[in-house]
Amino acid sequence: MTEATILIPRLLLALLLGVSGYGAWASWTGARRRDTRWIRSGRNAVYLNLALAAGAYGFLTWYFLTDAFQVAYVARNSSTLQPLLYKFSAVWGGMDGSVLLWALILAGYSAACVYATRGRSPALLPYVTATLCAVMAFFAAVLVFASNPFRTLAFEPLEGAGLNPLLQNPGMMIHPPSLYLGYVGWTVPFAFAIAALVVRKLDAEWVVAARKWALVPWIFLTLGNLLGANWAYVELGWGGYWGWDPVENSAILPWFLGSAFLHSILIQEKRDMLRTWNVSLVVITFCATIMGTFVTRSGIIESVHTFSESPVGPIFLGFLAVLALGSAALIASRADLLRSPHRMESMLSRENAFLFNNLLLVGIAFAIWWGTFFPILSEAVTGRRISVGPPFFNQVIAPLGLALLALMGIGPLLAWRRSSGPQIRRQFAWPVAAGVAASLAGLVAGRREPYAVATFTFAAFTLTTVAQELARGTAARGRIHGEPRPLALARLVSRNRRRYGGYVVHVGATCVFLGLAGNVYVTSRELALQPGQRVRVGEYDVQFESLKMRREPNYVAAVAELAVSRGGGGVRYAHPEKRIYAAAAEEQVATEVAIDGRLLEDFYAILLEPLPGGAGARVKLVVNPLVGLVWLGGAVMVLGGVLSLTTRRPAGERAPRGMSRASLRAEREAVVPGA
Amino acid sequence: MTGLLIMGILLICAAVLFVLASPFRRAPGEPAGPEAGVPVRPAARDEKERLLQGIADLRFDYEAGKISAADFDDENARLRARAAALLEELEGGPSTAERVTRRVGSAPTSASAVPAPEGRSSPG
Repeated sequence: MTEATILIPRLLLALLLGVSGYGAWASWTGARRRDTRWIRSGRNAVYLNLALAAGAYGFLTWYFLTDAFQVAYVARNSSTLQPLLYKFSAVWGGMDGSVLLWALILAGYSAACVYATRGRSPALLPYVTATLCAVMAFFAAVLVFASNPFRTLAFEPLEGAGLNPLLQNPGMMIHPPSLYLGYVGWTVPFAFAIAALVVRKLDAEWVVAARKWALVPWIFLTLGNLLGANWAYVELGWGGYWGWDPVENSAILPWFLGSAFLHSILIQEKRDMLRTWNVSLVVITFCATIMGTFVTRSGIIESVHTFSESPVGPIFLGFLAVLALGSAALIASRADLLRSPHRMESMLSRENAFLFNNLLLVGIAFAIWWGTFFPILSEAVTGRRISVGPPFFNQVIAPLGLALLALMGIGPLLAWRRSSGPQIRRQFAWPVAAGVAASLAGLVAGRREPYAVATFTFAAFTLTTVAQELARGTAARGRIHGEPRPLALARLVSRNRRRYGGYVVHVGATCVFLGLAGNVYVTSRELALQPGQRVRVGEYDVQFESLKMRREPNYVAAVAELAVSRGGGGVRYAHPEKRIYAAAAEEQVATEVAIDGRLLEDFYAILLEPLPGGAGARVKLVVNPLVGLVWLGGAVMVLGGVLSLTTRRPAGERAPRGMSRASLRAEREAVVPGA
Repeated sequence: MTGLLIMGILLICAAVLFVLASPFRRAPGEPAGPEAGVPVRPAARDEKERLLQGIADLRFDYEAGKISAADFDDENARLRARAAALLEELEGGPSTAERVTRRVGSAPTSASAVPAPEGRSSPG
């Protein structure tokens, strides 16, 4: 790399700032003047942003692959010894690169949105484009002025500091990009809401347009949080997967708010209600993504994610304040248009169940926010920084979560507008019976822990609801179309993926709840072991075999060998490690746990430290029941989200040129489940 | 090397300007629409599709036993009336319940058997 070539990526960033600012202005001007030339120019700016951001990202990746340590960011986050895979992930392993990744993803979302929605909603879209470009301009400004990844050092070091060992994990190849795809994606629904507020068109049009753009980031947030939890489980080495760390909390917060939004827009779509709630919710969700970045980047709250701290936190805080105050003012100025023409007719209606579901989801999000920011709030009020730990979160969120689990089963059983007594009896009979049976079975099996029993009860209730919905839906479809049951079931799901994708998400969420209930039954022992020594943890017999050293190009590892057998069965070997990465200026220590995973139980071993003498070691042995259901349930949730996303578009939404023939086909298929 | 670099920078800037300015090279006064050659889709068409979907969902919920015949008739009539009006607006011609029925099918006979108040369209 020469000093001269670095000018090109710097120019690309400067152009990104200029073009995105221009795009916002041109789109706004075009919409105001009703001049399509400006509007088209603004849209072209969006496509250019993608090319510019991709170019800059390509340059940075190239610098990592070629060990161009004269680039300060590369020198801080890579080394010649770093495996190739982690050179790719190191591009976003620090602050500057992660902001560039954010900008690239935002450019991708913006271009996809502008392309996919061309020819639709002509009143809204120029303002959507303007909002997307304005947000992009902010990130481009951060890149150019505060967090430029293309700053160079006065000399070229022979070796770099290397990527933080905690980030040298295969999951880290997917976890941060997934979270970013989740965070950044909320910009699009936010842009639709702002556009609807600006043009005073607050009926269902914007929520229908924004739904899929909300579902995509929701899926990525689900995946990102799942991978983050898995990373904590296998990499941080404390035995659990969710420690209520501030950065974890900041990532899950928009997930809860986004889940609420995805439910509440259904009410606006069906009944044209909750207009104020929906615009507010999407603004808050977007703000939560910016706040998450602020928490991660500012270091104002102690976190396991300290590797990503930087001075740009206050800039994000300022942006957050502008977003929140500006959006609030815009919403207040449209108060008269945000009044819904309809009212809730009955407590026993699906919209009311959705409303309660929203209150719970937002309540959980608020509790998480409160617990996360309490140290700052307490310091501001009392002068003393008081942290609330996992007990606070568990005590507050567990009951709300259980209520949410129950509502997942109740909502689908209720009809829109109102449900009558006989219908409620007919709809609730089997799910309630299943819940009671699960409760009794748990008690008979000696499970008396209230939260666990409640989880099993509500999980059985909710799973039976989904099964009943499928069974009755299949029967109804069979009656309407005269189809045999298997065909009716297949078409029932494939022709209404939105509804049944949602049910799949509910099944996945129920699995996650069951996995969380397993925490009640965790068994753990921490002890020093010498070769040949045996211990028992839960149903497991563990023999400490040996402690060996292993040398790799970028680290040295102490590796324990444990022979593990469950209930006198066959022996499996577990190899927990303690690694020392020497490439960095100061040695960095990382833990690699050993997990013997089974369907309903994990045996989890952590090497805490080698004992003096070098033969023995202090280890922590944990038996984690049902933890596999968390990963399985999370994966099912993602699949359900994807199923819901692939809803067949009404044919008129495809190529506008083929509108009339295609829309006839859509109308024929609209007899759900269709013909 | 420096010459090449300057040429590269100039080329990038020229390409950006070319793309941004391209819409202005077209004749002014083109009909409103953000994308040349792509017809604008009326918002009423989206609403029509939502309504047709809503009618089908309603019938499905009724068949699955979630709503009473009276509630079905009431909501079905409201949705069909609005869909008929939209079809008329979008495609011209007379607005009739039969046209909506042709698109989304008829309502189940059990609901039709429930006496409907005057003015309510027949779900059958």
